[in-house]
Amino acid sequence: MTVVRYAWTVGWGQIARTARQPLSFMWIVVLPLVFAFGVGRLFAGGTDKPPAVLVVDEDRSPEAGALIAGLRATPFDVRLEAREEVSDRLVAGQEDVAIVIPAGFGQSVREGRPRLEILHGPRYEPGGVEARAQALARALTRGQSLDPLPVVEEGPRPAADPAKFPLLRTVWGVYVMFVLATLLQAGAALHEERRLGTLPRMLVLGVPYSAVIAGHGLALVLLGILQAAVFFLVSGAAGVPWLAAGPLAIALPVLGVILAASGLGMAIMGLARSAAQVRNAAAILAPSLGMLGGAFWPLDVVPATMQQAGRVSPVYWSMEAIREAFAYAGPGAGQALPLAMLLLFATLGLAAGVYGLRRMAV
Amino acid sequence: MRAILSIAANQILRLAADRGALVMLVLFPITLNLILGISLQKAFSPDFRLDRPLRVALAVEEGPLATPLGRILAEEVPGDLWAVENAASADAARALVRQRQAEAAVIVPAGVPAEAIIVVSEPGTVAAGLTKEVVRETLAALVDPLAAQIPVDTEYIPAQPAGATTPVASRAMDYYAVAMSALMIFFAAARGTESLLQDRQTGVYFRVRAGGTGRATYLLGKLVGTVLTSILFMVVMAVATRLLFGVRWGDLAAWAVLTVAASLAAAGVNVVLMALIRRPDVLDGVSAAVFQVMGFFGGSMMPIYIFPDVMARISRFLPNRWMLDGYLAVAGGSGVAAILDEAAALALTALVLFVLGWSLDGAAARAAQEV
Repeated sequence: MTVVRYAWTVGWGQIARTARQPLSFMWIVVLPLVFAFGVGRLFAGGTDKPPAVLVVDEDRSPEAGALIAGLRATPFDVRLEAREEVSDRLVAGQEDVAIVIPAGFGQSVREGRPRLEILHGPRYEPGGVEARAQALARALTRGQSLDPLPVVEEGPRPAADPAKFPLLRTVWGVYVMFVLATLLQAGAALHEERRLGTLPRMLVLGVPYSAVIAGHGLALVLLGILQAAVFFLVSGAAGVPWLAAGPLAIALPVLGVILAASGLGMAIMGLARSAAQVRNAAAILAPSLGMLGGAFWPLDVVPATMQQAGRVSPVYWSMEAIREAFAYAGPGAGQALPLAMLLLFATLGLAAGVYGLRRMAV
Repeated sequence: MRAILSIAANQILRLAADRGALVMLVLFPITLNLILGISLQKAFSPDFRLDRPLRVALAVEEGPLATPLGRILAEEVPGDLWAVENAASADAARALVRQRQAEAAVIVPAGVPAEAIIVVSEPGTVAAGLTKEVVRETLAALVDPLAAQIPVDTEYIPAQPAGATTPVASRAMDYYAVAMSALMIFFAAARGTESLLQDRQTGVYFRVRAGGTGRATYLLGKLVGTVLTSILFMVVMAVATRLLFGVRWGDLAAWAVLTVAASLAAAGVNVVLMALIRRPDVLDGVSAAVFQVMGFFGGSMMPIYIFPDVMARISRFLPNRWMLDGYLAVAGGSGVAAILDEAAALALTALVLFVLGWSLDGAAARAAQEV
């Protein structure tokens, strides 16, 4: 009982020290939110936004207007720009292709042989945009309807909103990376205590070493829970549908991630020999594991070998837990394997940490 | 002059003795360069291909347009793109995706095109985008067989730059060698300015000043040390990424001009931060946060090419974006003349920041009665 009380005291003391530093607030709360919404804006366009298409209208005839209306109805987010601006964007690689409606387009449609220009960048490959523009030009020639193409997207899980899932997945990925960054860095605290001499003083006063270690482990978990509370409240209020699949669908992965990151934090705490080593390891490991595990982008954009390599990262399993709950089978059985893997990371990390920390007892 | 060089040399020697800092400065960007370079290579490749074909479950009802469309989707889509599995019904196709035995399902109802074709896939993935694109293209050509015969004179024109643009790296490894260097040069420069604060904290600064060294000499020495540290960092990064990843940094003279300008700018940013935050422990955290945000918006983490307009506009104000543009241009074959704008912008920024930092630091020093 005494050991538990000591551990609790050490843990809360650590949290209190962290809370007294305003800088911690920035690292633990502000930066994750800034990055989550920044990356979210880049990668989580969702399916409610039509893809952007650059169009240069050098004809301005009724037929050109009808073609643009048809592209908008596809639906495309048509952006009318001058040829020079479009050229710069294509060369810069910001876009791959632009539809140019050349002067005389209206006349060419009336003559039954429409004429179009495709302005393209260095990474261009023929695709749907120009195919649609050509189909529209043909339809104009025959005086047919330019109705949008009847293709709709559906998520595998009927209850999940396909328009919001990409944002949720991306914000989750960034959150997990920052949990790792926070809790791995927090592992430096025990080394700081040793450097400052408070660790030997505690031991001399009769505090069991096991209670000190347990207290630091507890501090990691508590810190993770506090961070999660603020992060999910703010991002939820900003529109991320965390509760769309029920509270357990998100609560279990959050807990799994906090435990896994705490376990890894303990492992680094035990393996490192100084606070600086812990911070360096955390700075390298957190983003590396995040990128390997698909925190920022769906793993199907990376080579197959990297997709397999991602499995060594707890971020990968946390992403799986979220995908299963929100996009595939729903909360419950589908999450079992990813959650078990996160617990395995926690257990192995804890074991390695305790083993390594034994040397600091003397 | 001798005092300035001694202070600068001392700073570099101290960094060389700090193994942890060296590991952090070199290993961190190299590791991320490796992971990002391999992971995102396909996104930089002009001929994006999946490693294996998508598994697509196809459920087609009998109908005048649905049947030929189903046949085309099943038989004519290239095999390296799709591996089709026919499903008995729409529900069976959906189940295959839900059980993750297929990446996407295409459900073609009898009444197409009046009824919508349904594409079932995890939203936001390559599988979802690619499947929709293939279905739309196939359908666009099929809706009206007569219209499909109308020729459309289509001229394909490669775009030529009309103004200043960011050159496109052909390999993710090349892009991230530059991008990581443009981020980490600020961390390298921070080692110099942090050491000045440490000198103040430990009293070294006041002892040296008591020995007759003026404030300007001391600060200039630290500044020279900071700039040299940044240049050394860039040399190490260029050599390491060349040897490890085969990254070509381009014309040496242009690279050198840009590196000096970039090092000055990185030192300038750090001088201002140091003048504003005079506690080394606090400065460490604030600098890291500022640099990470700059790195994110400046294209060091995500390729600048995929930035939406608003973020691309923000990035134009950041010195690390100018570094990125300059180094990519040099790596792309440009010489000194092509990067003079970026180099001048970096040097001018450095000058403004040095003056600002000097003034702020002077005011803070007077307030603390250090001078």
